[in-house]
Amino acid sequence: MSYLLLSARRTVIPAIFLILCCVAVVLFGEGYHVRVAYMFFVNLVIVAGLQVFMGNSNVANLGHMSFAGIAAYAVAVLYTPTALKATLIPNAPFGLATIQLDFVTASVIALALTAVIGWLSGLALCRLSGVAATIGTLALLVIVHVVFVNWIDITRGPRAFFGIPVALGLPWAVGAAVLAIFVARWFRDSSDGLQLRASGDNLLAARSMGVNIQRVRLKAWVLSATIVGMGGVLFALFMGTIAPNSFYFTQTFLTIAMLILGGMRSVSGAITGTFIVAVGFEFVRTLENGPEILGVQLPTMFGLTGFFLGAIIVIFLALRPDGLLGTDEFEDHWAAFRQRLRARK
Amino acid sequence: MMNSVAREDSLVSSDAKFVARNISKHFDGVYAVNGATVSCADNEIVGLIGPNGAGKTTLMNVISGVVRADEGEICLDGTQIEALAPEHCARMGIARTFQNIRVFSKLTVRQNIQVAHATGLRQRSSKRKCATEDELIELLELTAASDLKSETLPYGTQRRVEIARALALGPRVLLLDEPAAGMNEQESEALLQTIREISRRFGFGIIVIDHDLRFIMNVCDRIYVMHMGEIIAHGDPGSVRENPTVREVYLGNRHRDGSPMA
Ligand SMILES: Nc1ncnc2c1ncn2[C@@H]1O[C@H](COP(=O)(O)OP(=O)(O)OP(=O)(O)O)[C@@H](O)[C@H]1O
Ligand SMILES: [Mg+2]
Repeated sequence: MSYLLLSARRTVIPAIFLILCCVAVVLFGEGYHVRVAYMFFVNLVIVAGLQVFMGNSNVANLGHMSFAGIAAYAVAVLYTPTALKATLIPNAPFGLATIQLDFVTASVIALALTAVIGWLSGLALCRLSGVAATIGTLALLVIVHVVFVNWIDITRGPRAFFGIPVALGLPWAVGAAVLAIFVARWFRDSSDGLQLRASGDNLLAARSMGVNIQRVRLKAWVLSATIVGMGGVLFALFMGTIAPNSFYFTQTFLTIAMLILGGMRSVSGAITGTFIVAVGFEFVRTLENGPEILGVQLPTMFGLTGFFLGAIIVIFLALRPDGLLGTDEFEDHWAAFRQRLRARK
Repeated sequence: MMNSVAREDSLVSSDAKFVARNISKHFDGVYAVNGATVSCADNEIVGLIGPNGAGKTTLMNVISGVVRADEGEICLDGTQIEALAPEHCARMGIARTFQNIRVFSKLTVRQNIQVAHATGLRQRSSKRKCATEDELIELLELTAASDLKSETLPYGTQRRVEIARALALGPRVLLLDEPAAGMNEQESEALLQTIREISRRFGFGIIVIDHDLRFIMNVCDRIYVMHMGEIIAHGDPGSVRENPTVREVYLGNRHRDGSPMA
């Protein structure tokens, strides 16, 4: 498995960068910064997961947040102490109100459940292409949301599920982000990843070269769902409170804007986009609250963040549909850069 | 409607490994292919010519599973192929290139070949031998381009990438749809040599579509002439060149190019 090592090596530089970010926040940041940094890593996991399917297959996916939600609710139900569950969800089915697991076991079960639901939904969705596929994923998002809102016995519905003990901190989030990036790189470099990219490039040619589209798409879909689910677990075990709206349109558009801005065809694009949008989003959020800048009191502008995300998506789709990094990974850009230097000499 | 000059049995050579028999396909009541039969033996290079809109590409699409025929059957090594989708045809050993180039534009030349290799390897039986990546890159003269993205290459090179990719499937029959289109004199001469070399080295049958009659006459052992969806003539290059019907179609009907009427 030489390309496993290769993918590992290619993950090293982003990993070092992320760990440095984490160390800086831990050393110099306050509680607020830790929170922002943690959410950055959660989003990075989700965007890397999104890239695995959407970036390689070139099929737009709007349903990924449903997997974050499924994993988050699953881990919440399994890990929250029974004493609390007796008041939160006393009528939970399958005796779920009476079991309590440690957070590792709970997370593993939550991810396994997400993978199974991913596989089942993939059986239907991976048959579709183009617009039909995208609408199908949107339908998945809405269906799962409706279940969260209405299966009150287990999710508490629109009232938040709160009281999940905080089990994770920044180091876990960094570790998960590095793992997600590594797995995404490994899949992209693998033979199935290459076949999926070929199908995203030219569907008919890929089929005529014998690519089993459904098989490679399904594999990517399940992997993608599981990674995104990992983001959901991270979210639940840090925030302590989850609600159906934590995994709905706002988050969907935030993560999609991140992927599109950086360039969905590469994992490096996913990392870059997540970073830039996260920074920009914090800035815009400050503006939204009407800060005082150089003695000038700005008005509060509700909805500015939503506008910001929408603008990013529209502007990039129109002007730079391949995103900032195009189709290439960091090391491809670096190699091209060195080649240009050599050519100039 | 023009009647088929050649009868069906004479269209299929006795040692044919690959036969597409009585293929018909219509679009909205217009026949693009109308009872056409073509065959190909091992080591044979077969040409398929005809004016624009004759139905050549449609016939190739039917054979490779891209388009579903209304009628007809396809046999490879004596067994009828029930596969109806392009991926099944590819795995059965029918490899093709496209008239409107369809390389994987964001992938490098080498990766283009790897895709076909990966799917071919799953299916390939021990008797279907297949060249390695490097052999194919060398054979199609793609060494200098091997790590470049396909979209950056000139059309002529992209067509060679498509051929290399098709060969990576380890096919039993190879279909080339206008492989020399957009190539200059030298390139098409080199391609001609390459096609001969492919035939010699791998030994499977090759069916070539092209408008360049000189190219076809030079490279092919046998030629089918198609017009309005039907095979109107067939034979060795000499006899096809002298055939009066062919001359009429090529010279007399030039202005009537386009959709045939059913
Ligand atoms: N998908 C389609 N839908 C409708 N009509 C089609 C379709 N594909 C081909 N045709 C028609 O079928 C006829 C045969 O087309 P085809 O492309 O097979 O011709 P050809 O011999 O390959 O021509 P050329 O030399 O220009 O490539 C044409 O009249 C074309 O308009
Ligand atoms: Mg054609």
